[in-house]
Amino acid sequence: MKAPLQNLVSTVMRPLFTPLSAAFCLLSTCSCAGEQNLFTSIYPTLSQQLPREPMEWRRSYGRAPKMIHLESNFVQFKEELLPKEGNKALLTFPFLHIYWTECCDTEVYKATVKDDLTKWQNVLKAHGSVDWLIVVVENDAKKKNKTNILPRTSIVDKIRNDFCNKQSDRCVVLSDPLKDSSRTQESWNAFLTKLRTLLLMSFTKNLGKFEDDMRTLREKRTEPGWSFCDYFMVQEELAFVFEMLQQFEDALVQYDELDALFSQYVVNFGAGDGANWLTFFCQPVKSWNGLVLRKPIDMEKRELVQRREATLLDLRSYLFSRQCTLLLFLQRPWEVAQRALELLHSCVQELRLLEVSVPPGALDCWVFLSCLEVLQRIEGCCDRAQIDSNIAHMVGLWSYATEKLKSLGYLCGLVSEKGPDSEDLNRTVDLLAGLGAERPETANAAQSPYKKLKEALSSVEAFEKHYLDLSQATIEMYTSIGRTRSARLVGKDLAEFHMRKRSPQKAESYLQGALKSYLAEGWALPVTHTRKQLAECQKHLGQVENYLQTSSLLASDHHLTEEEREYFCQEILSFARGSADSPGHKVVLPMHSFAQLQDLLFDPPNAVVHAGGILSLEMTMCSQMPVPVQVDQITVNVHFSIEKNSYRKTAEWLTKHKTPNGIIHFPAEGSPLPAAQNSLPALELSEVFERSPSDNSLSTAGIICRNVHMLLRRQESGSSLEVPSGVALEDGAHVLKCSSVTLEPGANRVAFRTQAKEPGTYTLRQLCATVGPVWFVLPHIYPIVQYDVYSQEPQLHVEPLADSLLAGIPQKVKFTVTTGHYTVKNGDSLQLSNVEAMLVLCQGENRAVIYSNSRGTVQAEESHTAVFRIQSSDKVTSIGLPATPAYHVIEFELEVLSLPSAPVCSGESATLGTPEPPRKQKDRQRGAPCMVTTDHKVSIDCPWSIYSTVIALTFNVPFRTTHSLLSAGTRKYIQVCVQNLSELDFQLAESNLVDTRDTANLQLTPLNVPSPQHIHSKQSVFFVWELKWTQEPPPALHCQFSVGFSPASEERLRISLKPYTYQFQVESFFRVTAQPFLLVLENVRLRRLESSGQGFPKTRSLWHECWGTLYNVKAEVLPPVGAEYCRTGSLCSLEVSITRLADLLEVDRDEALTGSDEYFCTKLMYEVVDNSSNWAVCGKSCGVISMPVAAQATHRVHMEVMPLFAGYLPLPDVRLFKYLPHHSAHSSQLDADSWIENDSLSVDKHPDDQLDCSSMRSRGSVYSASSGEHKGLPMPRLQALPTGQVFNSSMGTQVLVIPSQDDHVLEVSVT
Amino acid sequence: MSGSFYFVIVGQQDNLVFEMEFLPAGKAESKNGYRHLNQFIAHAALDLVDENMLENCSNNMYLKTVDKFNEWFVSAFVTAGHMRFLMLHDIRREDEIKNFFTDVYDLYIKFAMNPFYEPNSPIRSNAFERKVQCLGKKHLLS
Repeated sequence: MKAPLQNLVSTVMRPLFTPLSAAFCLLSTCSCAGEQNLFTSIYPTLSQQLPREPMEWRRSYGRAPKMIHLESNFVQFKEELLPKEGNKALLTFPFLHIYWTECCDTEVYKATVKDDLTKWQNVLKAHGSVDWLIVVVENDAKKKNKTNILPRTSIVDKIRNDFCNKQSDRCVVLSDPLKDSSRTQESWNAFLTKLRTLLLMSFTKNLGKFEDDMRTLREKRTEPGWSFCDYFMVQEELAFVFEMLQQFEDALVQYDELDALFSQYVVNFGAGDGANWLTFFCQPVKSWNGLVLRKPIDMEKRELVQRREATLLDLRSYLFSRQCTLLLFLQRPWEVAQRALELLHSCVQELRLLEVSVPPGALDCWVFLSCLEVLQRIEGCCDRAQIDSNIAHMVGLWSYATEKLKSLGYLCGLVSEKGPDSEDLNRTVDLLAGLGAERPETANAAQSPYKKLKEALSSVEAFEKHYLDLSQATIEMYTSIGRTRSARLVGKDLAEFHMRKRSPQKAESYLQGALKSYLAEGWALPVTHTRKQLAECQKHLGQVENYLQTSSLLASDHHLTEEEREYFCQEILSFARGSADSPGHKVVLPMHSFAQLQDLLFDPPNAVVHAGGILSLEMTMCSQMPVPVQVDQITVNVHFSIEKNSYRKTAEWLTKHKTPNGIIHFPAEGSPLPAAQNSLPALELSEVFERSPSDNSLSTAGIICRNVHMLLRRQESGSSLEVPSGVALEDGAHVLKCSSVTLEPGANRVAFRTQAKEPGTYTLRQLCATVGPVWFVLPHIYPIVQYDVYSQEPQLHVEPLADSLLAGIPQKVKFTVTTGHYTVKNGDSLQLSNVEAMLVLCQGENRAVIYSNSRGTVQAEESHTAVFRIQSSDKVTSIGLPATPAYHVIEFELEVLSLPSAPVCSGESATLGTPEPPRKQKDRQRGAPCMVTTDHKVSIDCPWSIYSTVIALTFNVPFRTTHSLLSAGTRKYIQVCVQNLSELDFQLAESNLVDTRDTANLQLTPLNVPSPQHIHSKQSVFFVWELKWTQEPPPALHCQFSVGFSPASEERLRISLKPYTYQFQVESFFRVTAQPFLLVLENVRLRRLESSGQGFPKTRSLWHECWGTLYNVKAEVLPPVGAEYCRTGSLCSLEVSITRLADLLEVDRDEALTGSDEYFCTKLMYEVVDNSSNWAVCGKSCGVISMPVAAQATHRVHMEVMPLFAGYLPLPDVRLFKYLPHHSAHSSQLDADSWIENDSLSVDKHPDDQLDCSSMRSRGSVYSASSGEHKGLPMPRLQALPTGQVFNSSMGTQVLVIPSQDDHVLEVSVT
Repeated sequence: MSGSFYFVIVGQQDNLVFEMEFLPAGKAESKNGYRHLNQFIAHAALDLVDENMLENCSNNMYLKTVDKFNEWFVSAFVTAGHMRFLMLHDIRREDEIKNFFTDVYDLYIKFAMNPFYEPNSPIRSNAFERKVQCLGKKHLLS
C-alpha cells in the first residue's frame, strides 16, 4: 500500500500550487489498451485538450453541483491494475479503460482486433469493471491506400455490433486526429465530450461506492474488532480525494467528522462507556514535541496512526495538522488559532478523562510548543497588518503559552531565588528528553518553538527573559483589544513572579492595577488575594503607611482565616509598639478598616445643653480587628460655630422644638463585599422659583442639584483607596477625648463627657483612634452630628390652667419661672401689684415643682417640689421663690378670684340684660351667646430684672341674664332668665329681685322655689315675680336681680363669693316718635340679610315696655249648627272677640287714633294664623277693625275654619297688630285690604311668621304672589303691640275634632 | 465522571452578585485557598463574555463556551437586563448548562421582582440559594 500512496501524494500535491479559480480539477487515471503506437501519437493532443473544457459534476446526497476540469493519467492496461474484491482504495486504480484501434480493414479486424477486444472485455468483466470505451481512429490516408474499402462505418458498426451491446455510445470514432481541419476538430470535440462524460460518470460511481463503503464501516463501530485507526485511514482517503479536487471544505468536513467521532468516544469513555480500541490511546505519554504544522502531511504521525501505535497526542497532533493545512488553504488562519486553543484545552481534558499517565510538565511543554507553533505558522502566512487586526484571535494562544511557561518555570525551579536544585534539574532533563530531537524543517531556522523552550529551560536568566517577553506581549495584546481584566490576571501572575524574584518594586504596579479593577467591580476574594500579595510587596518595599493600611484592611477582611487576620493585626500592633519611642512620627490611616462607627447617643437626648451643663456622648464602635486592641485614646474633633441671628438657635426653640432623636445611626460603610464604585448616587434635583417681590410674578425658574458635590467630585482612583493620602487631620480647639480604651472585636461602647462652654453649635467632624503612632481617622462623620449649647435669659410665664378663666369663682393660674442663667437665691420673690377686682388667694401651703431645663426629661428623679411662701399686703402680694439653680424651671399654681362686678347699666343694652359680646367673638361665632369678659392687668416685679412684667388675665362672666314681662289678663309678672354659658355646673341660691327706686305702692312677690337650684352647663333657670300695684304704676320700673352662685362640684369654698347681680328697667310709656318706624324698617331688612336666628335686641330696645294690658283676645271654635262636635273636613265657625280693657291711655296716642274728644277709635289688624297646619282658614284670615278706645268695647269677628285632622286641636293663633295708616293724603291711597294682601307690605313680624306667610301661600289662597310693584309707595304699616298690651285669653285652648264618618283613611302625621 | 462546576452571576456593574459551587458527590468541599481562583477566572472571562455578546448577532442569550483557562471552560449566558451568568466547568456539558442557565434565569427574574431586592446588589437569600442548588443537582450533577 505504500507505493500508491506515494503516487497519490505526488498527484495530490500538484494542484496546491496551481489552483484553478473557476472550477477544480479531477485527476483520474485511465488505462489504455489496443494499439500503443496510435495512442502515443494521439496522447499529446489528448492530454492537452481534455482539461480545457469544464464539466458539470452532479453529486449524490443533494450536494451542490460543481463545474470541474478533468485531467487524466493514462497508463498501459494491465490486469494487475484492476481492483480486487474488497479493495477500499479509491484513487489507486484506473477508472476508465479505453481501447484504441486504427483498424479499417475488416480482415484485419476479424483476424486480430476482434480477438484482442474480446480478451480485453473479458478481463474487465471478470473484475466487474463496466467503465470502458473503444476508440476507432480513422485515417483518410490509410483509407486511400485500400481500394476494396468497405463503407467507412462498417468497422465501427461491426465493433458496436460485437461489443457494444445496446451501449452504442461506448464506441466512438476519431477522424484524422492529427490533421488540422474542421472535420478533425469536430471529431475531437465529440470524442472529448464523450470521454469527459464517461470519466466523470465513472469517478462519481466509484466515489459513491467508496462513500457507501465508508459509512458501512462506520456503522460497524460498535462491533468488537472495529478499529478507529483503520476507519481513520479510509475516511482520510476521501478527504484526500476532496483535497485533490480542491474541495477543501469537503476535505475539512471529513477531518472534522473524524475529530468529532473521536471526541465523542473519549467523552463516552469518561462516562464509563469504553471502547476497546481506545485503550491504544491510553498509553503513557512519552513524547511531547508539540504540533507540526509546517508539513502538509506529517507522514511520521500518519504512519503511527496507521500502525495503530499513535498516542492520543499523536493522533490529535496529526488530525490538527491536517485541519490546519486545509484551513490555511481556505484562507482562514484565524480559525486555526481558535481551533488550536480549543484543541489544546480539549487534549488536556481528554488526557485527564482517559486517565493517561503524563509526566509532570510534559503537557505544559506540549501546549507551549504547540501554541508557539500555531502562532508561527499563522504569522508565516499573514502580513503584519492582518495579524495586528486579529490579535483577538491569537492572544488566547499567547496567554496560554505564557501560562504554561510560567508553570514550567515553577516546576523546574527557575523562579525561585536560589535557582534550580538537583531535583529540578533532573526534571528539566526529563522534560527536554521528551521533546526528542528538533525536527529537520526547523533545525536550521534561527527561531523555533523547540529552540525557545529549550533555551528558556536552560537557565534562570533565559527563563526570566522569555517569560517576561511573553507576559509583556500578552499584556500588551490584551490591553490593546480592551480585555483589561485578562491583562490584569496576567499582570498578577507577573507580579507574583517578580515577588519570587525579590523585585517587589516591579510587582507593585501590577498588583495595584489588578486590585483597582477588582475593587471597582466588587469581587471580594480576588481583592483579598491581591491585597495579601500587595501587603507582602509593600512590606518588602518598606512602604510603612501603605503596608499598615493594607494590613488593617486585611485584618478586617472576613475572607481570610482567623490566623491570617490576627497576623496582620499583630503587624500593626507591633509596629505601634516598636516605634512608640520615636515621637512626632505618626501614621494616619483611614478608620473604616479598623473600626466602624455604628451609632451615637447623646445625653440629654436632644443634644441641647445649656452653657456650663454636662453633655455626655456614647458611641458604638464596631471594631473590625480580630483581637482586642488597646487604644491610647479616641478623640472626636468638634467644630464650633455661632449662628446668632437664627431663631432656630435660641434657647426657646432648642429646648422646645429640637426633638430628642435618641440614637443617630451611621450607615455601615465598607461592607464585607465592596460595593461597585462606579454606581453614582442618583441625582437629587429640585425646582427653584424666584418671584419678583412686587407682583409675585415668576421671574426665574430653575433646577438645582442638591448632591452636586457627590456627583461632580473627581472619581476616586483605585490607588487612593489604598494610599492613605488626603486624610487631613483637623486641629480644632474643641475635642472630645476618651483615653485608654480597649476595643474588643465587635461592638464597643465608648463614652465621652464634656462640659458645655460657649453657646453655639458644635459639629462632630473627625473621629480618631490612636494606637501609638498609628492614627485611625474617620475624616468625616456623616450624617452630620451636632449638639447645641445655649444660654437663656430668665423668664416668667403666667397662663391660666384651664382654657379660660371664669369670673366670680376661684381660678387656678400657672406660674412658670424659667431661671435661665439666673440662680434663684433664698429670699428672691415675685412682687405682684394688686388689682382691686382681682384677689390672689393664699392657701395654707404652696408647693412648686422644680425641674431641669432640658425638655423631655421631666423624670421623677429630676423634679422635686419645694414649699414657698406668699405674703400679701394691701398693695403687693409677694411670692417667695424657692432657691433654684440656673437652667431650671419652677412651676407653681396660684388661685385668683375676679370679683363679679355688676354689669354696667348703660344705655338700652343693659335694659334687656344682653351685654354686648366682645367684638372678636361676635365676628367669629355669631349667634351663639358669648360670655362677657373682663381683663385684669397684673404687674409683676421679678428679682432678675428692674423692669416689671405686665400680665393680662381675662375672665369670663359665666352667666347671661334676660328678663321679660308676662301678662295673665291684667296681672303682670316679671320673668328673669339666667343662662349658664360656661362649661361648669353651678348652684344658685338666694335669688332676689328688688325695686331699686323703692316705689311705695309696688310689690314684687316671688313665685320661685326657695331652695338652692342647680344650673347645669349651657342651661337656663327662670325666676318669676308677680308685680302688684295698688295705685297707678310708675312710669318706669327699675329692678335689680341678684343671685348667689357657687360651683356645684366644689365642696366648701373657703371664701364667700359675691352674688351675681343684674339690673334692668321696665317702662310703661310709649313715646311716639316718627323716627323709630324708619329704624324698624331698616332693621327688618338688615335682619333678613343677616338671617340671624337670634332675637333682635337693637330693634326691641327702641320700644319701652308698656306693661298695662289693653286688649283681650278670645277665640272660640264652634261646631256647625246641629252638630255636637267638629268634624274633619266640615266647616266650623271661629268666633274671635277683641275686648278693650282700658280707656284712652297715653300709649294710644299715635297715628292710628282717630276720632273726636269724646269718642276715639284706633285701627287694629287681626290675623288668624295656624302654625301647625291643623286648620284651613276659609275666606279672609285677617282684617282691619276700628276699635273704639273705651273700656269693655268689644269687636267680634266671625270666620270659617275647617279642621284638617281629628283630635284635640289647639285653636288657631289670633294676632293683633296696630294698623297705622299712611298719614298723608296720597292720591293713590289703596284699600287697606289690598295692602295687606300685598307681599311688599312691611310687617314687623317674627321670622317664623314670615315662614307662616309663605306656608299659607303655598296652600294657595290667601296672598297673591304679586310682584313688588308698589315698592317705594307710601304704605300703611303694621306695628306689633307690645307684649304686655295684648292678652290672649284663649291661649292653650283645644277643641275636640272627630273624624268624619265617611273618612276611612286615618292620616297619621309624624313630625 | 461528573465534573466540578462554579456558577456566578455578575451584575451590570461587573460586580459579583451571586456565586455557587457544584461539586460531584465524591469530591469534598473545595479548599478555601482555591476559591479565589474561580473568581479570578470568572472575572477575566467577563472580557470575553462582553466581546461575544457584541459579536453574537442572534438573540441567543446562551453564548456557549466563551473562554478557557487551563482545565476550566467558561460558559456564559447574558440576560436581557445585562446580567451575566457565568459557569466554570471542567467537562463539556453544553445542553445541561444551557438548561441550567435558563432555569436559573427564570428563578432570578422572580427573585428580582421582589421590591425589597435592589437590583445588582449581592443576593443573600437562602431560598434562592437552595433553589439554585437544586437546579444544579438536577442539571449538572446528575
